[in-house]
Amino acid sequence: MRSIQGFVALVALAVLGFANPARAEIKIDITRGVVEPIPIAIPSFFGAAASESQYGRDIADVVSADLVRSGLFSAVDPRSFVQDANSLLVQPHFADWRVLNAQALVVGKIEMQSDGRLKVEFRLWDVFSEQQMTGLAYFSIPNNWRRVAHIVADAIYKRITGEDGYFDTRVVYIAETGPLDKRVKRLAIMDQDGENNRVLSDGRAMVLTPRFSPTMQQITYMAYYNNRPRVYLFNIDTGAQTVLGDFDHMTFAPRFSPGGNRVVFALSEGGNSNIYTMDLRTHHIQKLTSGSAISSAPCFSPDGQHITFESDRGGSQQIYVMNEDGSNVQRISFGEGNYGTPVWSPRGDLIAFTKMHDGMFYIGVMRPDGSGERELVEAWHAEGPTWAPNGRVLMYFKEAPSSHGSTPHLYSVDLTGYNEREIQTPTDASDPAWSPLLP
Amino acid sequence: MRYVPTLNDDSLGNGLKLSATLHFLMFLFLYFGLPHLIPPLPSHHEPVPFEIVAIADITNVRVAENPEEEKQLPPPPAPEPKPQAAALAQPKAEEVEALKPKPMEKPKPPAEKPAPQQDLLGSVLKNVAKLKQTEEVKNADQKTDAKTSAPSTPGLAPALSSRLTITEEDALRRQIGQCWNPPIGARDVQSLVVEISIDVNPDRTVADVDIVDKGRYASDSFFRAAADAAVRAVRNPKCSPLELAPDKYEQWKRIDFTFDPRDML
Repeated sequence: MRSIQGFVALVALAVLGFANPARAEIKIDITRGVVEPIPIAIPSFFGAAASESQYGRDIADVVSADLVRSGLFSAVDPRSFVQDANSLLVQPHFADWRVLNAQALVVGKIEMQSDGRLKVEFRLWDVFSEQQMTGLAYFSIPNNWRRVAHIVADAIYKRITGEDGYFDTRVVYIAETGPLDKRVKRLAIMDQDGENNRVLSDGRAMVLTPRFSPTMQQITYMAYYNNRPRVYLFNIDTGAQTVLGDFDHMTFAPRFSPGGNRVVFALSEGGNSNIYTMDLRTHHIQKLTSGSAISSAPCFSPDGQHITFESDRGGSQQIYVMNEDGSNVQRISFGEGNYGTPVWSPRGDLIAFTKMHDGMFYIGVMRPDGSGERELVEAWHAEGPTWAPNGRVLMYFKEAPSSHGSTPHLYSVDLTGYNEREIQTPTDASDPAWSPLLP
Repeated sequence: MRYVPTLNDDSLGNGLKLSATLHFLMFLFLYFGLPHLIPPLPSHHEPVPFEIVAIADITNVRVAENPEEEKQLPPPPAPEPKPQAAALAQPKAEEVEALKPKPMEKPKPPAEKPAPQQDLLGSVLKNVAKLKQTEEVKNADQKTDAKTSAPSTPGLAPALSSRLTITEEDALRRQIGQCWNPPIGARDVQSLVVEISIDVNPDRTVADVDIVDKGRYASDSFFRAAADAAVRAVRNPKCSPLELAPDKYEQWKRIDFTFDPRDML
């Protein structure tokens, strides 16, 4: 009897072990691929009427430019397109698009609504799998078409890369004009692609280090009014400007907390400076650092629990991290040279910084514990890194020496260190600050 | 009465014959058998088939080229500042119903092979400070790279001749690697390890692709992007048909791939 049971058990084991006929004989580990832009085809969005089809062309162009500028996509040349916009709406001929080497295909349609609004609809297709990856429609006033295009680009970017996009954002920066010895520095704002430039201040006061509030309505910066450097708040919607606190000494290097309710800044006292926070609702002020060192350039972590800052307390200028109440100060930069202007990534995993070593400037990143340091950009002068809201791209300003004096311009670079691009601005530009995604 | 053997006795003759036979056998055994009790030094082996495995000494990773200068339109005349709230009524998003895709067509074989790629560095993440040093030790790096392409172990052991050789596996690994473009800048990219199984047609085109971890695919947008990149790699017409030995169909009709970007970080 026992032997029969044993036999049955053996048979059962054998059946279980070999029951799966689909078991693969070959297992391949792939640990190395290529890093190249994904070819994406973006034909003009279809519009039946002439005005609609003009919007269709413009929107497709902006979407394409956004995606290509990210460095993660390459646009398939529209002159090679075989299928027309109208028949695409019925069903893409995927074989035609595969021949063009397109991996993704965006098919869109523009319709003017009876209430005057524009309906912008698009589908993102995976050309190889012949599957729809996403499909969305937006309604907006026609003047808003450029923003709709950025939102469409964000949706495509998010679906293909997994990360939130950053195209529907703006950048504030310092617009510089005039001769180098009599520079006029004004606050300016533009879309992240350099469009819609507007100057926000009149140029009578020098403005430096603008920073966006996470709530988007406010900017904080340092300005010299009557030769007194102070931190100000500026409401973009109303144009109202208020001074932050009433201090006898110079205040500078302001930055908002992640919730937008507090501002962290530096206050100079004699030959040194220390880090303070101020609650914007209660006006309560808290001193976070003390001592005879110069501590400056504070920046909150995205969870609001920590603050990174630069300080020369150890003899040379280095980057430190402390708790948001000023306790548990840790030095995190240990490479050669001086480190400054640390900026915590919105996704929390990295801190960007400026480094000076051997007469050169570097824009780099390191993890919040100081490990994994990488320099992304080397230049005669480069400073002021600011993160795109998805923590994937850095913008900064850079200048090279020339015979008639150097002039700063804005650049962006991918976190991987590739795809450095200049952002075209009407004037010289410095000190960029990237906004969060528009609400 | 005692038995006394005589020379003429038959029993004596039989004994002698037996003894002589046994001695002869003993002699034979000692002569031929003994040397074989001690294993002789091998003079030659049975021929064992082997092959020189061509493990890639050049990586597939191409250093990103500097993007072409982007041509930008001159900035438009500054528009009149408008209150944002009024001008930028938030566009509303609506899901668009999915169109039904047509039945899958077989991908065509590639028109041309991609040119061998130059390069390059262990990590695809750039560090300008290290670039100079890296170039000097590039050769050393390439040797290290070769080690990282260690062959995977086959599951059940089929007949030796029908199993894919290391070269064949490596060819497939290199082929698919050239079509794999993982989202390398993603957060925690090292955790985005994607397993997929593919069914292969006898003509070595991909019939069906199955993502193993469907739960994570549905819930994690980063994983979904990484999994889509893996699927695109095996579906890419540039990598079709698969580089597989046509006579080993039973071996490669189903293949498990693990896409792990660890050597690119």
